[in-house]
Amino acid sequence: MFSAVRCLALLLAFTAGCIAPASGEVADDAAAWQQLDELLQRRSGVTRWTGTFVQERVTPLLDEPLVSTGTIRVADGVVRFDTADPYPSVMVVRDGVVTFFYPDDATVELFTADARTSPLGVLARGQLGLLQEHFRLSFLESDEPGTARFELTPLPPETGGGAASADTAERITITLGDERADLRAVAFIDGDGQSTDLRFEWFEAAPELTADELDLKLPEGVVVHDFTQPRDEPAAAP
Amino acid sequence: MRPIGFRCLTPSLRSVVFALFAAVWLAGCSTPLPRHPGLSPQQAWATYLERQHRIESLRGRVELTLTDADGKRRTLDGAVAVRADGHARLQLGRLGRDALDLTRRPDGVWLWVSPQVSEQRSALENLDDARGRERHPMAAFADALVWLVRPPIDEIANATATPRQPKGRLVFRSAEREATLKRETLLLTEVRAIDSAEGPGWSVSFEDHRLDPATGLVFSPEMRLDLRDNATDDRFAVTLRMSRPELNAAIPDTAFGPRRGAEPVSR
Repeated sequence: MFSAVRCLALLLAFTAGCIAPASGEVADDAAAWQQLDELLQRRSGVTRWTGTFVQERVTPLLDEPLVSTGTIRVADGVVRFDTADPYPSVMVVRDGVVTFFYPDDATVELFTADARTSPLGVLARGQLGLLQEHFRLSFLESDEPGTARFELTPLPPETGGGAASADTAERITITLGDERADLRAVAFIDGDGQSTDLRFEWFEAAPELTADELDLKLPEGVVVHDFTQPRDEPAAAP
Repeated sequence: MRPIGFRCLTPSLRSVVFALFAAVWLAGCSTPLPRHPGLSPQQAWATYLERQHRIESLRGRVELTLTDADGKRRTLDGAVAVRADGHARLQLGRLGRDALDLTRRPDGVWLWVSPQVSEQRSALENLDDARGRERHPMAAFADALVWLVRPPIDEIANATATPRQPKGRLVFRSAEREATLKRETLLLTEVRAIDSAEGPGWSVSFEDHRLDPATGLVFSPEMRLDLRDNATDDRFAVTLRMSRPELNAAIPDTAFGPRRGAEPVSR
């Protein structure tokens, strides 16, 4: 699920229009990739969005899913999630680094978004070819009118995919609006009786939003855990 | 100009305001806990045990907070399910990402830790160092999860109350453990290891007791485990706080299947 949420953030960066298919790549499912690319062209260069999200985590331990809610903002490849409930937390994805801020704990964590742990992260850097090395893409029937639904499936490691791991969803389904390719829903299914569904509402263009506005403003005294550094190096301030 | 206050309201408005205050006050009151006045210590202990043994399971959303000796804390949230027959499972994460999945069954304990967590120096990274020890610390913690429905008081069951009882409390003691009940409500508030000069010590406290209206049983959805090493005076606390707890729900065995990729840990 860690990679799932990061993947989502990076996927949003991707769908915000900062990605173009790599030329000369041979797609695993060329028709599906082509169809996805055409769909994303409908965004007409819009790269700034705001919205609200509801995340439902299904677990075999409970009858009811675990629900989290908050807002999401995307600007020029930078993505920011502000979770309000059940407790406040912030996630910002920028320049291949994922930053988590937990105000109640006065703690920040930095992670690298690499191709192995966040396969969709490659999209944020414009490397569609790498995505195709890790995932199979297929289109699904959408039961919601006016939407398109597709599925990413990690390729097995023996084929060079490298994306499959105990922490990677077995399947990721994504629902986009037909007209402007706005993100409607993402589901991560891990095949272990568990899944995470994210639904987006009021996802709309925000041309006035800038990437700088999405930066974290950290209060003094926050403890930083920098996991982007090699193991034996001390953590650096953000 | 007259100050605006209760007295300037008409009688009918006053009654409306009074009714609103009464409604708010009543809404803020939880169902009162049952009281058992006038019991001898032995009767009180027996009554508590009978009540506690009617609790078969507990589950709900959970927030786990780790607090070190300096007061620094880390919080993870997720779900927990515990059955009195020794089954327990705890799933934790942050911001919706899974970090840890711990399963305890009578036939073993399994642990899954997110590759990101284990590979990138999280608070849980030292778990690897514990492998090879006689008892894995997460196996011990898995045992402690069961305390949510079966507090560690079995060996105290036949013990007598201590001669001196603090006001409003009943303290029961065995050679190694001490349990404290509130005298009238018979709420178990703490169980602790009798201090030794060296080695680890622990205490577990139970908070926020409430009455389950469906079963009429009293339970605690909040458990705090305080760990200390008496030799070094290192201290550490783990608090499990459940929200929307479900008491005595039928939790199927399938809920306790270890997560795919989980590894068995020594017990």
